[in-house]
Amino acid sequence: MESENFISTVCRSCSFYFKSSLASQPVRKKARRTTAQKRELTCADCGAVQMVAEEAQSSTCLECGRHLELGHRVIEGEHLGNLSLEGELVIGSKGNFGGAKARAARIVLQGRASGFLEAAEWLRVEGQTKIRSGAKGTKLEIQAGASLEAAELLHFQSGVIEGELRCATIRIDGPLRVGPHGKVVAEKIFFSELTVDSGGRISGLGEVRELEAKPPTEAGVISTLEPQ
Amino acid sequence: METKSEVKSQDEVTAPAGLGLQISGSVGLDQDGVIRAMVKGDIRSTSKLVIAQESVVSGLVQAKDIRLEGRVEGGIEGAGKVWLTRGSILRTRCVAKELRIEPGATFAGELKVGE
Repeated sequence: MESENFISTVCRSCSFYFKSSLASQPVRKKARRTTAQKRELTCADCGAVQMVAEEAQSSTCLECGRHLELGHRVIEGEHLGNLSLEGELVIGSKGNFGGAKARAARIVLQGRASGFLEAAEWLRVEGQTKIRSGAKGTKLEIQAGASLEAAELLHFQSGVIEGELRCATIRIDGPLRVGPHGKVVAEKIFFSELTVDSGGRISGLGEVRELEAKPPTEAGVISTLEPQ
Repeated sequence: METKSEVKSQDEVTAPAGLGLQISGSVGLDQDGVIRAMVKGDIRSTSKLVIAQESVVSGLVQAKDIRLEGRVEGGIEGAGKVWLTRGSILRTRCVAKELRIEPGATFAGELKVGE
């Protein structure tokens, strides 16, 4: 007896070689796997670029071995320890980021942060908020009715202030706009372009600074002001 | 050419002063005007005022709306809109209700808008 899927065999008696009917059928092609959608991921530490699956939640940098968390995170209570996300970080109205440094592509701040915040894309302030340290990133947005109080330097590429901002020093390398309900009170305000709409308020020592060649996310002057 | 008296009459205001003109003393304007001169003193206007390119004002400039293309050393106080264009220079103080500082303008000093 041969197995039911046999393809060929030899007769035990006469040694005649014959093929089964299955052998004449065309060879089944292997099912083609669907190629996973990939996206580019840049390491926050060394800048190395690698491709990861669209659905991946974490990865490891192929160059420096750093663990990269790709998902989103919501802080509703006390969070101690540093954070580094490639996704969105939401610090809720009752949340407090108590680590030394949090880095994310996008940060929504509704509560408090004791540590330094770094937003690669934008930092949006939506509630009555406080940052005991500083923050940096590409864009700072303070929504109407929201307020931000920061003890140290805020350094961004651009800023739109529709709410209230109180800080020691704010440095905007590009345009800074204060909306009709916006208010900025700072000891020092640096910008390359400023628009204060009718109804908007701004008070402090101001100075126009030309756009820097280096973005703030790279090592530069601001790095000396970050927590070590 | 140097003028030491206070400029008040409307004719002198409406005709823009040519570059090279130097005014010592305060200047008062009661309608829209353009300053093209070196002014060693303050300028007060109840209307719109333009400080043209290459003009220099050593004192304080007060007006409703102010467009600065030149240079002011003593500060600007605008009851309405203040506009600092590219290439303009302002030091010491800027007070306004509405403000626009273009990229390329030079400003360093106290900033009070809408206060």
